[in-house]
Amino acid sequence: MVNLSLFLDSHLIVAMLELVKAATESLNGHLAVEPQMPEDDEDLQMAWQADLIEALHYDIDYLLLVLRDHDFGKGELIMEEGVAESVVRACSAIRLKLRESALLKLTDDQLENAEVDILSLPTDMQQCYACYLFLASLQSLILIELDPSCEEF
Amino acid sequence: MKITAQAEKTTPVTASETKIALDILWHVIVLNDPVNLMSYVVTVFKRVFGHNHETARKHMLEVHENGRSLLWSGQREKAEAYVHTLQKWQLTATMEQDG
Repeated sequence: MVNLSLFLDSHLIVAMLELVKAATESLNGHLAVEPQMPEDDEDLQMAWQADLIEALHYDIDYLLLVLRDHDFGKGELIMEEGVAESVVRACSAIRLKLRESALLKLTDDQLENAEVDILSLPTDMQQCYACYLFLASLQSLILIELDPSCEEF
Repeated sequence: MKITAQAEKTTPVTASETKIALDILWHVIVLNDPVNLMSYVVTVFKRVFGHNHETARKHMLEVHENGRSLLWSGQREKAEAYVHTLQKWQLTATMEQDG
C-alpha cells in the first residue's frame, strides 16, 4: 500500500482538477505520445494503438478518482500499489499533453531544469505550468512511497 | 510429382526464413523526453525489466545524457512486448533491427 500525507488548499485542487479534466478531454481517443509501432503489420498496429488508448484511459480514470475524492488534500491518502502505478502513469500522460498543448514555448532545458519564471508567462500558461508542476510533485511523492531509493533524484 | 516437388522446394525455404527471423536481433531503445522525471524513468526500468537500482539508474542517465539507451536485445516478439509496455508507461520507446 502507498500511504501519503497531503495537505492542499481546496481552491488549488479545484483549479488543478479543471486543468486535468481539460487535458483528459483532449486525450479522448488519443494518446499523449504518438507511439512508434512495427511498420509491416496493419492489424498489429490497430490492436497496439487500441490497447494503449484503453490502458491510458484506465489510468486516467484512477487519477480523476483520486483528485475528485472529497478527502484528497485533507491528510492521509492511501492507495493500493496498482492504483498508485496507474496514477503516476496518468500524471505522465497529462504532463506530456500539457507540454504539447500549452507549454511548447518552453524549451526542453527549461522544463528539465525547472528554470521557468512562472510570473513571466501569460496567465493561461501559468495555470498549465502550475498543473504540470503539481502533477510532477504528486508523482514524486508516490514514487518515493513505491520505491524509497527514488528519493535520491 | 509436381506437388511433391513443390513441397520439397517450399519446405526448406520456410524453414530458412524462420531461422533467419529467429536469428535477427531486435533492440529496445528508450528515447529522451523533457517531461518524465528521472525517478519515474528509473522506476519504470525496474518494473519493466526487473533492473536493480544501479542498472536502472545507469540506463536513465544514458537516456538523459545521450538521448537514448539500449535497454534490451533479443527476438522480435519479446522486443515488441517490451516496447508496448514502455509506451503504456508513457516513455518514448522504439525497436530497431540489428545491423
